[in-house]
Amino acid sequence: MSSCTEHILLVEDNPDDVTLTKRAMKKAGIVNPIQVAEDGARAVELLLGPDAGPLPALVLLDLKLPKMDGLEVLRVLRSDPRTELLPIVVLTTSSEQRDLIRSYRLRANSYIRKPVSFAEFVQAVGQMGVYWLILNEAPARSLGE
Amino acid sequence: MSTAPHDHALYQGLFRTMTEGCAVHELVHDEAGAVIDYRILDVNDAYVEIVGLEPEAVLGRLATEVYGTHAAPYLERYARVAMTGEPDQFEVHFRPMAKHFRISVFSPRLHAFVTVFADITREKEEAAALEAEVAHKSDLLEQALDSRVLVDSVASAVFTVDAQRRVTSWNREAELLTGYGVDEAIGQPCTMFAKEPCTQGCSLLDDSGGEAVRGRECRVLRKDGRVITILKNAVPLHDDTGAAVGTVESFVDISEERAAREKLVASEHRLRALFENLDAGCAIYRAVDGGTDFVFRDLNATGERLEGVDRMDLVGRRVTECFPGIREMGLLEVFERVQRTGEPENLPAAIYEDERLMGWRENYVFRLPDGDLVAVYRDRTEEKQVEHELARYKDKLEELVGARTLQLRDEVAEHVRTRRALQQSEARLRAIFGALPDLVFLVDEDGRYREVLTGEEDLLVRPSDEVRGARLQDFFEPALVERFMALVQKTIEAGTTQRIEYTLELPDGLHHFEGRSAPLEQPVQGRRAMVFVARDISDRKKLEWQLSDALDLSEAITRAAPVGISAYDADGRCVMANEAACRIVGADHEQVLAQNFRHIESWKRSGLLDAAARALAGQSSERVEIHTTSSFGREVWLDIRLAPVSSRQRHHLLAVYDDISEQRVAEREVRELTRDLEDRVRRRTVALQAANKELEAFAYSVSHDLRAPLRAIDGFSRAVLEDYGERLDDDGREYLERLCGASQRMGGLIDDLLKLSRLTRRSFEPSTVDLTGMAAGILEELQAAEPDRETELHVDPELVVRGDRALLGVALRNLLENAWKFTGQRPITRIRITGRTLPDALAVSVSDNGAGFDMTYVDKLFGPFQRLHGMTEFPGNGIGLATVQRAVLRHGGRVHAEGRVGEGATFTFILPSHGRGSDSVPPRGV
Repeated sequence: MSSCTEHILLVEDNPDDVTLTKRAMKKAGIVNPIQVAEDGARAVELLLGPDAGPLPALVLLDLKLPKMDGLEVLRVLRSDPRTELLPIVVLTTSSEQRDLIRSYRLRANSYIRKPVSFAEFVQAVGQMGVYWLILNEAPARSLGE
Repeated sequence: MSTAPHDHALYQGLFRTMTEGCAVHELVHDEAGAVIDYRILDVNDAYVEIVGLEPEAVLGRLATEVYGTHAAPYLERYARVAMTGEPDQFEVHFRPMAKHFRISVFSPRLHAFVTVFADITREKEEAAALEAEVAHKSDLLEQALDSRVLVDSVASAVFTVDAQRRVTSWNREAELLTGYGVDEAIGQPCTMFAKEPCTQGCSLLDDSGGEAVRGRECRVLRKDGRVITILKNAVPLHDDTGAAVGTVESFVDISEERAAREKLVASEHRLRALFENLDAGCAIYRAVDGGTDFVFRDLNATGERLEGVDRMDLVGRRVTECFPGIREMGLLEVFERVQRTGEPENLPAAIYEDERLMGWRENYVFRLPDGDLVAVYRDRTEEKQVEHELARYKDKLEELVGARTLQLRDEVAEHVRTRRALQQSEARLRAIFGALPDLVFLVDEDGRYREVLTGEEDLLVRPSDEVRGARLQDFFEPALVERFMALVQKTIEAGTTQRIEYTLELPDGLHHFEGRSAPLEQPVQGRRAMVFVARDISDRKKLEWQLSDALDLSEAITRAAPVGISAYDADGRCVMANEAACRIVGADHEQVLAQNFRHIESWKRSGLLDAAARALAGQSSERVEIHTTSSFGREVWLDIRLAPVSSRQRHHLLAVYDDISEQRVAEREVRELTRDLEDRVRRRTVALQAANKELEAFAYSVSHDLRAPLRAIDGFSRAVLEDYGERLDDDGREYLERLCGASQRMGGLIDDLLKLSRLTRRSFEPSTVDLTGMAAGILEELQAAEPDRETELHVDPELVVRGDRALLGVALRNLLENAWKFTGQRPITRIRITGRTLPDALAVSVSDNGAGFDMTYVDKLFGPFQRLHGMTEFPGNGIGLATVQRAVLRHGGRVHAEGRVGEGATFTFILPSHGRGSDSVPPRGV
């Protein structure tokens, strides 16, 4: 179980989506601090770079990103022992089968499609938060070190 | 005691010969009258033998003297018998003799007594041994009585039950037979071991009134589930008051005996069936009268049939009585022999005859181990009859053959004679015929036929009989008669051979003849005469004419043939060329004839010269195709055949050639066109693939990028509503709500568009698709979503097609959802899915009683985003039917619709039954 003080890393380039996601989290009662990476390269830097801080409780990853796309980010994170077990939820607009399949092949923990309706989005984010931040038992951190 | 003399003698005899020793004594008294001894008066032979003392040593002597004892043995007892007359008996053991005697004493008169000794030594010894054994056994028994050793060592399973039928003891054998250990058995009800419920009480406690049960067969269920058959005894146990307290039961496993018995019964049945179904007769007898007669014990069905008897009438009766002819037949003798020796015997077919029946029987007789006799026999009557008949016929035949042979011999001799005579006379004529051609006449100087000799009657104007003696003028026209008579005179007068050709009308047409005449040296019947030999030369004439015709024709053909024909002599000079040949090379006839192929440049260049050399050398034809420019400047493609021809020993080369220039030019053009087309197709394909890629990228970005702003519109509108709602008036809030609604609809639209695009992009995977099941499933879902609707739904059975399951599923789902949607306002929803088989296709229709549509707009129905109804009336985005059309088109099928406003619609899609989709058709754009 994760403490509600552990942060969430949101990898998202669209500022609208950042705002809406944050708002949806708040609406869904998720109070963990949210760190934002605007592109894939930044996300990798934040998690594995020389100045990397403690790992987040959860990474929300968009697929369509500048510089390094979401699938590439997944591949890099999964090949590093520090983040190979980190819970990563793909949160994207695409419902293409091949995106789904590639994400799961690269060992994403979940794949959630952002609905157009904000009400549904709040619901989806809420359920996701409850599941990944409260219900799910993540492996001990030291494992990855 | 007085006895008659004869009685005395009798007793004397008895006394002497009895096997017991016997002695007569009298008592001896002292002065005081007390009995002190006894005297032996008489002894018998047995006494002598038993006691071992001779009569001289005992008779008249005192017992004390005889037996050497101080006192006379048994004096007191003997004296009592002699004094009282009461007989006595006792047993003694004579230790010196190691013998036991039983001594009987009686008194014939006062003071006298008789002793009878019986040697009972053996009896005594046996009794003693028996007693010792009994004692020993009872000892053992006593020792073992309270231990389990006894119970366990008996070969039967033994157990006891109490009054409640619970097991109280259980021996080793019981453990072995049932598989239950003593610990498991003790305390259990004994019924747990029974395979079937014990209907007959074995526990003696309730129903059999305490009687013992012996030899009952039961089935026991072993612990391992195996069932065994047991034979058991049970004895009730009683307490001192006689009340039943339990039962001792013992049993042994008889499963094997039982199985063996069943097997025996089965084997008996099998043998019986065999016996009954044997196709030979089979009888079983038992010998009587010391093996001279035999009684029927059994007869099988075949036997009954053969003899026309019923076995029930025969069994128990003598064979000589039932079949009196058996002795004459020789079978009885065989029976006797087999009965005596036990050696099986075969009696080959022998005739049996009595008043009732007659027939041939072949018997095989053998003796069974139990002494019964078996005869297996077959009816050989028919064979014998046939044999008999055959023999009879053979005799008759031989007789006939003999007679006929004699007759034939005579006939042959006659024939030989006749033929020889004929041969002689014929030989002469034959010689003439063989030597001369066709028709031979003898004609005299008057023009009269004297003789006709011919094998070809058809060539005569009249039959040869009529011709003989007739005159020339009888048959021929005067002009011909005149010519013939001139010939006759010339021949006869000049004495030289003459020749003539003439034509005659014969039944089968005109015939040409060549005649030669020669004078005869000898006159015929007084007239000078000649031989006239005529030969039919019609065929030769015909050939001559045909040849001249054919030559004309072949020249005409050659001249007019559409192929070039030219011929060259061995030196290469052109000797002949037809019109086509000249035309093809582009020259006139003289120019061509002036050519020598050995010097033609184009022949050398094109390899034709080599082919010509090969054809001439190998005397075989060659075929070559050349493309060249002729000596006269024409560019030509020629298909040339070269063949050597020989005419009057001179070799020529024949060249036949076709101008195939036009074909070749056309082919060249086609090739160029094809190449061009292939190029274009390749370019188009590349462009198409690029477009396809672009399309995919477009679809992907639509899915991603187009939805993102929509989400923002919806999200922020919602945010405004939530955060600032109270600062807006109702209109403001409603507008924001509409903004949200619109963006969500657009989201839905984009999703549907993507689905449509995916439908065209995905690969086509053909399989057998059950449309009936598919439709039923979709209808079930729709009903489940709106269970309150009243419906009448029908799906034709067995609508099976070959196609892509996913595509057909999407098409069917769209049609059914449409039908469901447009019937929503009807009191009863009626939807029918029906199939119709067309040549090479299956048409599937979905009909409903819904809102229908105006046929004026039928063309718009299948275009994307086309809607015929208002959004508020029936929601939708106009992509469903476009999707249906895409799916059906990819199957190489088509779809059409019929409808009337307010009366429902029918959508029909037709799928080709070869089931091949448009796999190779490049995907179409959205």
